[in-house]
Amino acid sequence: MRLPASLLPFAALLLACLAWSGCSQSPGTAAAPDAGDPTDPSQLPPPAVGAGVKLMTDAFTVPAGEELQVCYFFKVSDLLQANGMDPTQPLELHRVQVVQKPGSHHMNLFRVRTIVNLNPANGSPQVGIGGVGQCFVSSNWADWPLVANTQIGGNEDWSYPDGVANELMPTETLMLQTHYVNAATQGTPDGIGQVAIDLYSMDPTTVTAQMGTIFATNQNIRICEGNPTPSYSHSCQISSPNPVTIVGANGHFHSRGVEFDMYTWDGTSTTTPPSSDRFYQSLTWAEPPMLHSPDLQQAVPANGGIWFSCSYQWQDPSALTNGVDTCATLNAFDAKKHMTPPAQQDCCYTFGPQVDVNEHCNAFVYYYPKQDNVTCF
Amino acid sequence: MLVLVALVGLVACSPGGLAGGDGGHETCPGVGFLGDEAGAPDFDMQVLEADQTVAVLNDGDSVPLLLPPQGGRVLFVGVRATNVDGCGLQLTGALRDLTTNQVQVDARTVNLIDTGDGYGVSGTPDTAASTAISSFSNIAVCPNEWSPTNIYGTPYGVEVTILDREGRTLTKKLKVTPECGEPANVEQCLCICKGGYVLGQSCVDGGGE
Repeated sequence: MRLPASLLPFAALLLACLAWSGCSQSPGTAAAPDAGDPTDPSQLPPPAVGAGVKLMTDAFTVPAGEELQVCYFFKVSDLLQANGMDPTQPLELHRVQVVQKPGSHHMNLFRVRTIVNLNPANGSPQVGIGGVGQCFVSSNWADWPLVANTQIGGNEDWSYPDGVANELMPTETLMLQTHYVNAATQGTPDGIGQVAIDLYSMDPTTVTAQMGTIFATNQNIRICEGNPTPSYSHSCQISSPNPVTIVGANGHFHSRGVEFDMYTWDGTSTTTPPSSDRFYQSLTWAEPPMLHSPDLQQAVPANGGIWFSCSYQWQDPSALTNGVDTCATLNAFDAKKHMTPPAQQDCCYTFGPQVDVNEHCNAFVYYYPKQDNVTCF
Repeated sequence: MLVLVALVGLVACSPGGLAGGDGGHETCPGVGFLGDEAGAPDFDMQVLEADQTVAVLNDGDSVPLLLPPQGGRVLFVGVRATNVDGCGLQLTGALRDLTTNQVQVDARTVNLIDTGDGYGVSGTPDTAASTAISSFSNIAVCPNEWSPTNIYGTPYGVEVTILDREGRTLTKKLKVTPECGEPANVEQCLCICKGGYVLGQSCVDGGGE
């Protein structure tokens, strides 16, 4: 990939960042106290030695008009070793603290599973720019279970309920995916993106339940001028024979998104659950609520799951982006990405990562006790 | 990978924006009320086939599990409907495990294609893939993390509900047998659609049955 000149310093950093653990904290970092609520990733201290691991990205430039999505890979055993922990033992993740510079569109942490075209062996980080690059191609992580995510800048600090852990095996590789946007509908105020994550462990002997996650993505969506107020709903089974408790949730769509709802669902109904079962609602696409325990503790019946809905309002792209993008832009994307012929192009926002011209409908849910990690398409 | 690119032509809703009001509702260019406003709503189910054609779905039919752009396997189920408002129609499709009663559901707002005979359809042979798959209910059934039996080769119930903006609604149910519908992708389909599949498990050497 050819990088713009403005990104060359960043590219140099990338080259200097060796392999999977090259960007993580140096081994043997001294224990540091909990720094409270840092808002600058560089100010987030690592967990005390033996208490967890730290993952951190470079501070990278996000030029005006650009979107960067960068995928970093970390081997769990390397992270454990780097902070004085036994690299042969699992990490019982109990607390996640994420600090991001302002402008982050999202940060997702996944467990690497089936390798398609985004291969850790090809180095870390791997950079996507303007929607181009394997770090932007969602089918590359179609079966990679979610570990953690956030969509807000600053400090997100969540301790799971007592006794609940998400076990990370030392043989696993994690992908930290960070997406920064410095375009029309979302900006990066400092022009710099960076993410730091502390994953705190708990005593394995006190674990009473494992955390399960759901990553649900509804990708065949079209918000078109001729169908300007569509809604899309999807079910997602947890398939637990016993009730589970949802303790974390957030929804993700772009600026045409009007309302994002999540409900607990009985697993057998084909209609939208009653409003009394709604446990999440987002009316603000850019800073969607990040709900988690202790505020969120929602029971799901046995053999149930979640139901999520995204509602949209089509908008004139010219007005939305001050003329940077037009219906011609959207139609060109539709033709190139989806091979839609001219007669059926309708100024549609379709699924994709670029916030000005694409849309999303993604749900992130955390629950326990774990039945399995779940991905819903 | 499902490639429905050969389908070209008709317009679900042509460019040009909304064309005024109709009883408080926006109207879609190219489609309005279909059939007889005094008549009871009715529809046949449609399904997207692996060879990119659109077929009427009948009780007892096989239905193809297709690879959509996002991965996994999906049944694309639509309608050929009459006596309903084809603009902004709510289309809900579901596949039900007839043993456990568990179900997978997808609901979406679609504009039917007016075929000029009092009916509107989710797709025609001329509909491009991108338009078609967003106008059909995308019933995502694999990875199979919801049904204890293999999705393929097992009878399931398919349920479709239409609801127009005036509240006209109808639900129909059929028994169908999903099958891995794309020869080029059979091995992975047999793996991720089998009963007991665990997310992320290796499908190398098939992994299915």
